[in-house]
Amino acid sequence: MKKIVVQTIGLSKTFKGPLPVHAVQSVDLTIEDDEFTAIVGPSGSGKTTLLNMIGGLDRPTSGSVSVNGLDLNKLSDHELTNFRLKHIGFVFQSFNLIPVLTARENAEFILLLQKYPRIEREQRVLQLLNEVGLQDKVDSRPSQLSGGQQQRVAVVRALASKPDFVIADEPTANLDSKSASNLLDIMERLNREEGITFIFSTHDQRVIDRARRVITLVDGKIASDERR
Amino acid sequence: MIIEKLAWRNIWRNRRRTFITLSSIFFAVILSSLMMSIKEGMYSLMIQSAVGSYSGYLQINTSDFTSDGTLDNGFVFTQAMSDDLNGIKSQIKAIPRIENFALSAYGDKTRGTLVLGTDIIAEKELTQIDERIISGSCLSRNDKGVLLGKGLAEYLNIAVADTIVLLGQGYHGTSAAGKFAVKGIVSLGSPELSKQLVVMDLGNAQQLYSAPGVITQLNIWPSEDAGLQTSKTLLAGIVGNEMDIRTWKEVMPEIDKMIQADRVEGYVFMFILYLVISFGIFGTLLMMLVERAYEFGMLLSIGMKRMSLAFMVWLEALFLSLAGAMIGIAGAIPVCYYFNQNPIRFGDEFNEMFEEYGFEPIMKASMDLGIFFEQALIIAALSSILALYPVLKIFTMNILSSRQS
Repeated sequence: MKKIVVQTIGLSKTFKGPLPVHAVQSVDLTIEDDEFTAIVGPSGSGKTTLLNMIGGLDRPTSGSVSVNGLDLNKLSDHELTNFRLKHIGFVFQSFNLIPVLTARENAEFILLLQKYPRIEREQRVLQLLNEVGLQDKVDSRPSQLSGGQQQRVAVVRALASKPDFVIADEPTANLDSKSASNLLDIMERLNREEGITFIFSTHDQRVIDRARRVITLVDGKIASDERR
Repeated sequence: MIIEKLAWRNIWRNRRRTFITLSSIFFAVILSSLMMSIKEGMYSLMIQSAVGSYSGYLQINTSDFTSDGTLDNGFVFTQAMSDDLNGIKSQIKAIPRIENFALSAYGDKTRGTLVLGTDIIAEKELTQIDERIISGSCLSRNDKGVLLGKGLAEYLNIAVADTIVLLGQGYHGTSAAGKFAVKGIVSLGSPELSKQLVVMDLGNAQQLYSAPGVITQLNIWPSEDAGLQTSKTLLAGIVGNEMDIRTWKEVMPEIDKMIQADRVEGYVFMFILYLVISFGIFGTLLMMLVERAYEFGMLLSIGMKRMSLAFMVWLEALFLSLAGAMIGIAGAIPVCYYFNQNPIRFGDEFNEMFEEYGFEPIMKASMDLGIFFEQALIIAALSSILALYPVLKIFTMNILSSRQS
């Protein structure tokens, strides 16, 4: 039986205002180790809000999120920051990297914050950069990299500290077909070979086609949950 | 180390803006350094003129003399005291003096004068009085003649080899009267002294005032190595605790107060100058905060602590300001050095005004490194205060809103 990485119970998020928005409503969800899951749905369906709560970036209005059995609601802001640093890898849609650092420095960033020893840090990052085909770009700044290359560096950064899972919020949204395909190949291989759990939010059909589990959200509720 | 590296590289992200900010700091530091350097240079001249070439940096007298500076409150300068002072002469040099008043007369003119009875050998060594003789010659030990300040000689219309009459009150009510040959005319740094000073040998003055062995004060010149405080401690061991050992600031508080008041004026000008550039620095910090809101949100999302992020932003402000200050100091040093080597001389119209205050009518920049470091400290403090705003913003920043910016 596989280990449960993420579990949400009755997870809801309502944004207050003159017209309250129920972005996520009573979502019960379990994500197991090694999953390659895409959360899909139209704009405004609550994908990003759900991912933000799973990633400890936002707190639910009601319900709970547990990561490896730890209830995120019980953590303070400071503890949540530490938790994100050590347990979750993030890949965002764009502008993922720090412009003044090279690809290698960007990839090392999380390890530096975690105070990894230099040799271990360098070995890990160079190996990953090599795996994603960026061995020739280690000293390039983000402005010298293509969008696809930047996303690959972001993936390396997310994976460098061996997190429990990686959250990727529309990682291919700004990429051309070839770059998107390349990136997906890499993530799929890392999932298959290294057993890394990926959770995507996307409406990119290319991502949906590759996912082994597709959760569809409509109006903040799970409309379907398809395993392939 | 990554935080420091990030901060340094971040300030060069918008090079044009950084250069504009650096330029504003550069010019402010040059202006401020030059102004303070010239002010301090003038204070040094003033102190040199009033203190170094006449009164010394410390004065020993009885505590009664401190409150009532008359000859009656003088003290006997013993051989033991003289021997003890000789023993520490590598650190401290002293001139025993009598200062008293007398009415001087020549022909049909009279004027109140300050009679200075002094050890003429020590005087030559410490105040170089012999180098200020403009007419006649200097006194020698046990000389019976006197030296007159240039202003006094001009007023009395008296020349070398003429005889001046002095009339005054001696020790404990005795009369003091005497005729003295004018041996030389002295040009003094202070015009006030020049108008009233009569210098004579210490023994001669003790005889005039019927005060054998008595002096009113010991004026002290510490060596450069021995500071005022160390010298005070050393001297207290020699003269005992009953005597007052006062610094020149205590002896001549009016000079110190004038310097302090003028310094405050300088600080006000400096405050205005730095206030203007602080708007420039603050503008840069605000732009940086707005432009990088998304990036800050991303950094917080991936697990960077707010404290680390705030520290990075504070360092950016500090690096930017200190870089400007360093360039400014590097630019200010040669400018100040030029005005140190080539003092600005005032025209005749300013001579009288400056002479009233008792110093030369020149503006000479000081090369005291403290002035330049002070600029760096002010800039560092200023940028630290200005950086509080972005730092507070980071601590209250909403991660998700930032990432939507």
